[in-house]
Amino acid sequence: MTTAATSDGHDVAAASERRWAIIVMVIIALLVAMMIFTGLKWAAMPPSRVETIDPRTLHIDGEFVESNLGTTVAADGRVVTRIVAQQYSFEPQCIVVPAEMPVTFRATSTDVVHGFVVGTTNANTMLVPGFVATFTTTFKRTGEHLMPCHEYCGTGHEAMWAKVQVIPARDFLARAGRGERLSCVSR
Amino acid sequence: MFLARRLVLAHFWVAFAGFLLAILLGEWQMYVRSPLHGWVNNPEHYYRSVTAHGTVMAYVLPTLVAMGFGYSICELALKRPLIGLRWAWAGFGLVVAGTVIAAATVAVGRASVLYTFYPPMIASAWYYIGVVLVVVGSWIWVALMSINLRAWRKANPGATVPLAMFGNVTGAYLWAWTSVGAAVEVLVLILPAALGLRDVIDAGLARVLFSWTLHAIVYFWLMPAYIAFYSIVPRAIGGRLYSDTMGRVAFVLFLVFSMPIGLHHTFADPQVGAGFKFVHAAMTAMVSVPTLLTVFTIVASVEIAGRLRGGKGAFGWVKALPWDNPMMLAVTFAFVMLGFGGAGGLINMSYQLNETIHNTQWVTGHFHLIFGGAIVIMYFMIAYELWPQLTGCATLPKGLVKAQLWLWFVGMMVLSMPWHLVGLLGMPRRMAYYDYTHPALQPQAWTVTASAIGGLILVVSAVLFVYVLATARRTSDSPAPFTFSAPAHAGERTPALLNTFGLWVGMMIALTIVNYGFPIVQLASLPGTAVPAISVGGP
Amino acid sequence: MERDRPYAWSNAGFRWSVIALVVLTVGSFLVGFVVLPAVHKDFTVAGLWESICRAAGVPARWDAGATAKGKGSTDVVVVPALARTGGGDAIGRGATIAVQQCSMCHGAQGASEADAPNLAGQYPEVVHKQMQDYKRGDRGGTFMQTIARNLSDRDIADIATYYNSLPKARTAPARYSDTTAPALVRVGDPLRNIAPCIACHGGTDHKLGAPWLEGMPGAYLVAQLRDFRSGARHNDSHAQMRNMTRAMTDGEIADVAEFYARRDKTD
Repeated sequence: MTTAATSDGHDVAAASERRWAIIVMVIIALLVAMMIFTGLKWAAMPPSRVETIDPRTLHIDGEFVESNLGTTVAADGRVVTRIVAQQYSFEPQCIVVPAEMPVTFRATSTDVVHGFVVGTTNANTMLVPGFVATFTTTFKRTGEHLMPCHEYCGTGHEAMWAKVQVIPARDFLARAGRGERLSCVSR
Repeated sequence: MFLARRLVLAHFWVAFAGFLLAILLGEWQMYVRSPLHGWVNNPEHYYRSVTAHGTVMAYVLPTLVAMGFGYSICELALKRPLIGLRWAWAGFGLVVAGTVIAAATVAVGRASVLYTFYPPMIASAWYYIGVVLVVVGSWIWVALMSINLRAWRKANPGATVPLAMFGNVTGAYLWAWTSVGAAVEVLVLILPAALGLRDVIDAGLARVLFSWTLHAIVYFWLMPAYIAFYSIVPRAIGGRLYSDTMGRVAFVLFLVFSMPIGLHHTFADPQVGAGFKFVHAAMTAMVSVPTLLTVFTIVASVEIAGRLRGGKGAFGWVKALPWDNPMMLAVTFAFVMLGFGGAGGLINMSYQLNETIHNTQWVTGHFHLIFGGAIVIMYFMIAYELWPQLTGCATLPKGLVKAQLWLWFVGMMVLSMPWHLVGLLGMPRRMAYYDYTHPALQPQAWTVTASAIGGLILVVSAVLFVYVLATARRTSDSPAPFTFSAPAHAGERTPALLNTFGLWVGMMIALTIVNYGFPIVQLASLPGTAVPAISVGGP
Repeated sequence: MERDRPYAWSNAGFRWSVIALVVLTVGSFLVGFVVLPAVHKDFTVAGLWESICRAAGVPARWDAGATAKGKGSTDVVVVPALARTGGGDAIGRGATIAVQQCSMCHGAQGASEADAPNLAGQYPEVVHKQMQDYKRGDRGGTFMQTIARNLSDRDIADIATYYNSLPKARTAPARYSDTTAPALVRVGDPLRNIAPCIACHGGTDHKLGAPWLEGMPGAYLVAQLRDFRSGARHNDSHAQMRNMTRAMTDGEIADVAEFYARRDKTD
């Protein structure tokens, strides 16, 4: 090959590479922009509110004591659901939430790492002992979801799941009297 | 080759033997989880198998392949005997010893903690000691790659490092730095608890340290495949490498951006702040750049092969490609799987979309497709390409090789596509039992059956792979000299920055400090986040 | 020339690479730490610097209005330290208390002839927790509550050490491979949220605080499982046993109790 042909070919190659590199950077920028846009418009954010807690004394007093678990309407009107995960059950095992209202989940673990996902929704978090996981979501439709533990937590992992019942907001608010902790656990 | 023939063969044989055993375990898991089989009635066996399958496939197979391939490149690309052969054998010995120790501990049920071994679950100390030995053995390989390159540079001052070696050393440096996270987790946090010296452990800090390793390790796995894309594929199909420089750009981008993005594995974790999660997500977007660049460069190189064979027109060159050539099949399959797997990865990295699929079977389908599919199929080709050099055999039977590749591709697609779907339907990971008669699980049943069938095809392919290698016929002729791809434009000058590693390693370390420094120091200094360690698998 | 000095600012490749990386890093930090948290009231409620700290992962209180209702189901913190036993002195002291106050129901060697649970070889943290729960009234049973209230914390620790030192009624625990065990013991029933008993009470896996069950009197086990199922017994923190027993039938309770109570199995 002559030098001129080589350097022409080289220039063509370099130019097409540069074009492709620009296309690639545009694609990447678009992806990141989408993340920023959804983060701003819908305030969508994975559970990222760092809060520490002592897993050894959860059952003794404080926010995650057994009688304080379940779904409640706080003084400022927010719906808050508190859950504790342990080997090998969620407490409460049947959770009631209203449809079409923002629900704040607060959950933690007493022993190993657990996690849960609610049905096919995006309510999804890890539960790391020593930390409280907080996130807010809204359930659009009524119905019942399975809420399995999705992080391996030992040989009983396959038995660890709860149910989430999404009931109409009206029914929920009617049941939720002042400060009561709701759940749908049968006894 | 000069000295490293038996060394490389040893690495590959242990890797592929482990691979065959682990894939049998994997198919067993898929089968007993599926509607095709009644419940195996022993959850501990299931989790034991998952631990063994994951440990071998994640820590043993790719490490040994990278090491063996690396030693080969040292000799074949630098055209000189390997320096440090004894150390290399020592490193291999450590890897094998570590594998045996870890595998034996898992086999007796004392380490069913899965290959991600998330504390506070703590297994027998022997399991972790085994993994540590494997990693230390690989560090010897890292050092030897660096030493061999330095010796070559002294003997060839100012010369351009051959592309294959450049990629090889990139992978080595990347691995050295990325393994630090898990090494610190195991040595500082886990082993003291496993040995009974402490009875508490900081689970949040351990997860963050593990995430340091957890993502970049996949780029360590990926480097041999990409080195093969650039330096072997064009030559093997009769083409030219479109751009040597772009190859180097891709490699250094991996070096810089593989590392400081691991927190995308902790998007759903409560111990990491939103700011760092976003930064890692944005930089994860950057790590898709070298793959996109690679796709362009390799497709262009393949196009050259097509046109050299007389292909004309915008798409006529595709028909003219050497479809009879196993390498052509492999690179096509690899890119198809890379396309799907990469798209899935983009969803995983998207800060908010990840919430839909975190810890569902989508994740499992994703990494089987992209690692087990796109990368491992190139591991096969690396073995096939090197086999005449290593064993003095004749050309491997083309029909069997192509059949093996087809089976792997079809099996992997059948395995992983339904898997992605069932993840969207909400199926959680790592469960020993599903009852498909339950109305909520009933729609998921067919996907698991399909995956089990795909897995069976993969087992056949894996057996065929080992068979082809094991029955390769020796000849008395010495093998043809091994060549790497020639660049399309001779006389292309490599910029000095793409001939050295200093800037890129510096960026990798700097970004790690910026992206991980505060989260790690913060978690380590928080009082009271150490929680009781929970021993698994008996005293 | 370029080739001679790759790391100099004058090298365009070096210059632009460093600038690009710095811009990318600073930009993503600004977005992640300032821009995105700005739309979350609970991040910005305490000002910009606090918002940045929270985005960085500095722990904060995110639910200012959280007040607890009621007390816990038990007050005992079960930690590995509870599993450590005292030395010979403690065994001596514990033996003295046991002879005077425990052995008429729980047997001279900790193996009861009646339906009181065996204590011989029991994990010390289990004895500790149950006695403390009796002492505080978290576990029902007037007789045991009275006895426990008259014991000091050191007495309880000594009793735990003493009984732990005695030989167990049966030493071979059930394992996952033991096909004579009832299904619930060995593999549980995942669809009814029942984990295998031996996942916590077994030889392979043992959860701290879960009692050793092998050789326990059958009637005692039946009574406890039924009490957990009805909620009458509720000193299991966060309902971990109540959740397990909720879906168990009477027949299953009887089978599980009979399995654990059998005494003819050789070790």
